[in-house]
Amino acid sequence: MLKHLPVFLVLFQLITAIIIPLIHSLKKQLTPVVVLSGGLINILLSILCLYRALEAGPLFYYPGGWEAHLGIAIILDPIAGLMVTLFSVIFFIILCYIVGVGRDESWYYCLFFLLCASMSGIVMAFDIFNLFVFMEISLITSVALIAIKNTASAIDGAFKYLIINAIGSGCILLGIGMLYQITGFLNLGWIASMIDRALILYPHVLTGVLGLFVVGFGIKMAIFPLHVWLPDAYSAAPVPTSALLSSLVTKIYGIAFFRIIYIVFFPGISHVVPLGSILKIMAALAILLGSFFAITQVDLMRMLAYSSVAQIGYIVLGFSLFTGSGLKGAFLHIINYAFMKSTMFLAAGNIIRSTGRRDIKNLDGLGSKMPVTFTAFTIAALAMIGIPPLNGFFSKWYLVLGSLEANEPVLVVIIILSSLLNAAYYLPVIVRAYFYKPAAGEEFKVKVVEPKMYIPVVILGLSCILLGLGVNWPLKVINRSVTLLMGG
Amino acid sequence: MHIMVRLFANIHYFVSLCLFLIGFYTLLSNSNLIKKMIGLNIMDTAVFLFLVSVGYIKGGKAPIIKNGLDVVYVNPLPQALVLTGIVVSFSISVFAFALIIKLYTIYNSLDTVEIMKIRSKNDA
Amino acid sequence: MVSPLLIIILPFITVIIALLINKKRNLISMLVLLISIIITILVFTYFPVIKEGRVITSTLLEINNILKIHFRVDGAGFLFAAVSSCLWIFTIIYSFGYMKEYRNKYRYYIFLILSLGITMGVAFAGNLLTFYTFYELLTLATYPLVIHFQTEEAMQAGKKYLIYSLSGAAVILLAIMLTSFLTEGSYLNFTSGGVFPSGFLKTANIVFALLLTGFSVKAAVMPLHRWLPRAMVAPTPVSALFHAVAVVNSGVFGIFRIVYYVFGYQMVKTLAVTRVFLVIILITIILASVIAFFQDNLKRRLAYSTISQLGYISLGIFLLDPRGLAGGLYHIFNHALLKITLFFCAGAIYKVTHKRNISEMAGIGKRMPFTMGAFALASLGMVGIPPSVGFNSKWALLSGSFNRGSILIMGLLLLSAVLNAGYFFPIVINAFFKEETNPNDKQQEKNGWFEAPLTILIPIVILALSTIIFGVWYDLPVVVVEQVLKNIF
Repeated sequence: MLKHLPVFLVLFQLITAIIIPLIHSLKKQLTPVVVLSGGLINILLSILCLYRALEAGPLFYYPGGWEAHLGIAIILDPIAGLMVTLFSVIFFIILCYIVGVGRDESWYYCLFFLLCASMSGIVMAFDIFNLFVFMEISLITSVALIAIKNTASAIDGAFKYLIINAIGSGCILLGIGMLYQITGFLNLGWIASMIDRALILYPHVLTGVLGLFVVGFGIKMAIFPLHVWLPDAYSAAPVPTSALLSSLVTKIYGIAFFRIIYIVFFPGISHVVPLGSILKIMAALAILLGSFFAITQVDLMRMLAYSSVAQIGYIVLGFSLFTGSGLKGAFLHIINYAFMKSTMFLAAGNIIRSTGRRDIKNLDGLGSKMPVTFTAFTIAALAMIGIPPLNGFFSKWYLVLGSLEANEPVLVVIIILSSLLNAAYYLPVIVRAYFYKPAAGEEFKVKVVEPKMYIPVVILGLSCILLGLGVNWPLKVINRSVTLLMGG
Repeated sequence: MHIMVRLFANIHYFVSLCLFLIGFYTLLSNSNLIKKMIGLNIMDTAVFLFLVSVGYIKGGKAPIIKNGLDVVYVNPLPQALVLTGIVVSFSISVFAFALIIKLYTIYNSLDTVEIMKIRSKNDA
Repeated sequence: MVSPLLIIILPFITVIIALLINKKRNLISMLVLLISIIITILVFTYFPVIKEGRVITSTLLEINNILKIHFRVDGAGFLFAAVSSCLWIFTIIYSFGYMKEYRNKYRYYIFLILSLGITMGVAFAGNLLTFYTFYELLTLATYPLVIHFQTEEAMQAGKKYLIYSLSGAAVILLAIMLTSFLTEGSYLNFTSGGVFPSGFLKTANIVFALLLTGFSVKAAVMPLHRWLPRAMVAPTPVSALFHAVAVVNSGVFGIFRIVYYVFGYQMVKTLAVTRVFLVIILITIILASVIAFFQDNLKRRLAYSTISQLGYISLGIFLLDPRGLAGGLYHIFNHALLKITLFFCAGAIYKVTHKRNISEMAGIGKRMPFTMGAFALASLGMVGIPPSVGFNSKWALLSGSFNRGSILIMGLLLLSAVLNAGYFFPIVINAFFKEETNPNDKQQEKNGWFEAPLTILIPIVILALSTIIFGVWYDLPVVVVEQVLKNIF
């Protein structure tokens, strides 16, 4: 039974996704119960996956019993286990939030679970075509999750998201085809075994493949010059959607991309293309310019969206350093960032819901009106800036160590500078909310935020502190993942 | 001359590359949403052509084992991939067209430039 | 004797309790006073241990192989903690009177007690990262106090304070990361003699320069001092406590820690940065005094005087000589005592007469004899005239620079003392011996004393008297500093 765990996880998520609308049409009151219990079981299954992965090392699973070079391979390694667990936890908290808000749309939950299934598929796929299919599922579901809001800007953002990401998918598919052509395999392990020969015989084709992958995955990760779709989509989407998309989905594309890079291309590719430097430059630009754009925003949600652009830069930076500490930093930042950003998005959601205001300038004096929400927001923002002992500090620490190991002192300066820039756009929000008085005649009519809406935010905010103090725990898993990637 | 020969031998790759670029260009240069979608579909088709041609062997038969005879088969894997790819591309197109219909009902236009104008007017 | 953790965490617990008893907000000020007294007593329980020259170290929690929360109670930390916590009590009592009419008292007291805990953390931090953590938190915890009045000016000052402090902290973090990389992830526990690996002279110079730059922000070394005069828009107790004692001293204390406990004075002697920094400090001492001379706003004049006096402490640290260091450490004690008195006087004057500028204060000594008497006593100390406490540190600094053989530094010290006299005595003379130039009608009717309320006056008088008492009986700092010196040299 345990052998089938990875596939069972994905199947469970798919089946839950389908069951929810059914149950909703039969008996409305049951929907939240089913949704939440589905989320809980999902967490349990994911933790089981993680446990298996840690106990037994990387496990391969071949659906239908077809061996690697013919069939599809699914891998359950510490990376996949970690990501699945992280995703299911954040996913569950966001589900609680949606239930708390009282969204009465079964399709929304259905799409959420579909997205969850595709994410699990992506992190566990060891076959690039399989990976592609899961990525397409996640593309369609995320677009639907944005468009479900059904306002003009949401549809607009969703369409932009869809069309630009479809270009990315086209590039990735072409890249996969070319890779298949020169190596004859789709399984990552088998491709890796052929890559040395391919590097000698077809260096130009491989360069092309890499170029296509960088563009394709770059669009999906929203790394700097390819991020154009992100702010429109995230700022227009329903709040839980933006929370989930921003905090995890883009990062999981990053995991997929770098798993391919590390398993297949690294380190042989560095003789052909200076891949590391290209990615590093993109990441550095993303960090700096994303922060600069965020400073200029007046809309709270757009500011958060641009801040995601900057934060993706950190993660790509960590991966593209090709050093142990850099990798640790990237993984740690994915985990920390998921908690920080979802806290902020959900808190922003509460703010917008109860005041109807999105402009940062209009939030003066809100701190005393919505103390709990703003406390959580403050904690997450301070973590984002990198104040010890909150969690954001540690990921930055490892990123800096990684940059030093890679002998790139400029990147260290950029990372430090960017934490100041983070302060420059987060602190004004906090200061305004707590210490400014609302302008005359602008008194607030604040709808009461109910506990079921702010409890998820509080839990996420607290976990920013806990993950800071207890950073050892994720690091244990991360160390395993790092040795897996670096040792392979 | 040599290049021409090689080009001719690999004409399917060349064509699919051209198609890909044509599709990409259409997608970027047209402001009409429908034409954008056509460009996207051309791009996808180019990729499918490429994938199918990767697995093609001259004179190869369909990979169905008959009477245990030893014949040359074309590689079935790319075909399977293309089938999946077509499904994916189809669903993306359908979805995109649904969104386009929505956009059209909201803005009464299919032109991105006009939609932008209307949006900025609404914002102001 | 308790774990340093308790001292640090007590204020945090207090805040939680305060949030829970939200309804009885009036109790908060008494609660805060009580807690600060308890903390002071707890700090003084370390005294016997310090006297024996023992150093208590305790590791609270090893979060990972980078950040270990590690505490170290030694003479210097004890001195800083003891001075700060004592003065905290006085400030809280003073605030009872001073803050009476202002709004948001609840927030004020909460952040006041919170920063006490964080300051204790700075004092007892046992490694560089623990130090950095509390140092950064101190900025955030004191920010709401600086902008307490929430006027446009206050917000601007607060912004400047945040920008300067956070940038400084970022530079420090950069340096810590570099150090940690060089030492391959060691914890950088403070040890006398230093932990910085020898053999990286060039990198050591860079790291040292970065650390000094970072700490210079809070230590208000020129040209990074500009936030300090601006921050004088804060309520006077806040200016007194933070911009004369806790915040600025945390910067100086940071410099002390890195010079003697991270790099080790032997190594610092060889670094080129040391000389450059020494020159900057000397310029700061003189230039700040000169600028103070031209300030008419009393609090601003005191702020520039603070900048200059902090230079003395840094100078003492950078003389790299036992006598000089003793002078620097004495001066932490003396300056805190003297400057807080001066600020309290300025606050009392403002509270009663709403006068900020020195030119308007002519003849005020006749009306507020206690306040201005205290001011005069503290001014004597600032200049360094013998019976007062200020003399001890200046004498030690002079002999320290004599040991170093630098006539220039000795000369500059004397010059600075003259400048101090030049900008403090006119205030006193003006207040006592001039006629009131611009008599306010109401006050003239009263025609008599109009001292501040007792909660304001009592702290002032006690502090002013203690400047003389400690000037005569100087055992406490001497005993502590002796142990510090023994530990280092």
